[in-house]
Amino acid sequence: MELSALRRLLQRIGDTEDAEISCAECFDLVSQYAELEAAGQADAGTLPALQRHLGQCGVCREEFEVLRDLIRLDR
Amino acid sequence: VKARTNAEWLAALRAEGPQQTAALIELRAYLLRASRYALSRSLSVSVAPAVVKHVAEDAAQEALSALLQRLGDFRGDSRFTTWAYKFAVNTALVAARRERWRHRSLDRVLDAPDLGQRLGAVPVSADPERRVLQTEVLTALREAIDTSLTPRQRQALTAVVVDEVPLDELARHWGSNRNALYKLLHDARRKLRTHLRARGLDARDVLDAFRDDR
Repeated sequence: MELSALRRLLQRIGDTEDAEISCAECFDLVSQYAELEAAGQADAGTLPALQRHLGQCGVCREEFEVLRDLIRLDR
Repeated sequence: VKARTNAEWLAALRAEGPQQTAALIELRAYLLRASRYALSRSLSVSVAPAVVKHVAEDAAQEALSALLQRLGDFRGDSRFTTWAYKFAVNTALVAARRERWRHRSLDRVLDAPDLGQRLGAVPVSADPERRVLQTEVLTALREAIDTSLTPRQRQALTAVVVDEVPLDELARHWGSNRNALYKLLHDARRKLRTHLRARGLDARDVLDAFRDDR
């Protein structure tokens, strides 16, 4: 196993919370968060449960990043 | 053309006749733009333009149906167009992942050696101090994986976290769904975190021991 894969595994284990939101709950919140991020108005305290989900879930993160960049292009 | 406000979008989409038709045409154009952009970011340039066009149009259409079914869920905490975009981005990226994995065998990835076994093959540092901590962490992690996870949790964790198989592709392969698989992985991570903590190890604190020193 590559060191990078092991580090990813340890990071995800270490960042684990007792309660985490699902991908469906992430989808509900992501449009609001993506607009705040695109406007530079998001920080660590903005929708923290969503941010933690994005740290754990590669596919939700990919969708968030594309959405945020699309909003930036529209500005 | 003056952009519609959120209220104008909702009113037009819920109206009947030409007003609704015009709004649907405009909305579909937004969704197509979002799905094309998502595919341009995620599909390799080697995918034929005709295929990309087809996938983009299908994704926009699927997104439109999904969105219209959930119109009542829009709470106005973003622009309506942003809310609409996310449906297209989601369907387009799910389709792109399917396209990327079409020619790769998930069965082969899932048949990879067991996670415990693979941890045994991680190269350890030449530095004696780091080596001691690395060995302690790897032993505890292996033990946690072998004793506290179900075979399915081990397989999912290996595929998604180590081999970076997209969650939706594995869910599709197993006849499951993204939420259920996320929960399965969450349960697995919680068990590993608990097991490591019981041995005085915090997975975040030990990350530094595994920085690349080659």
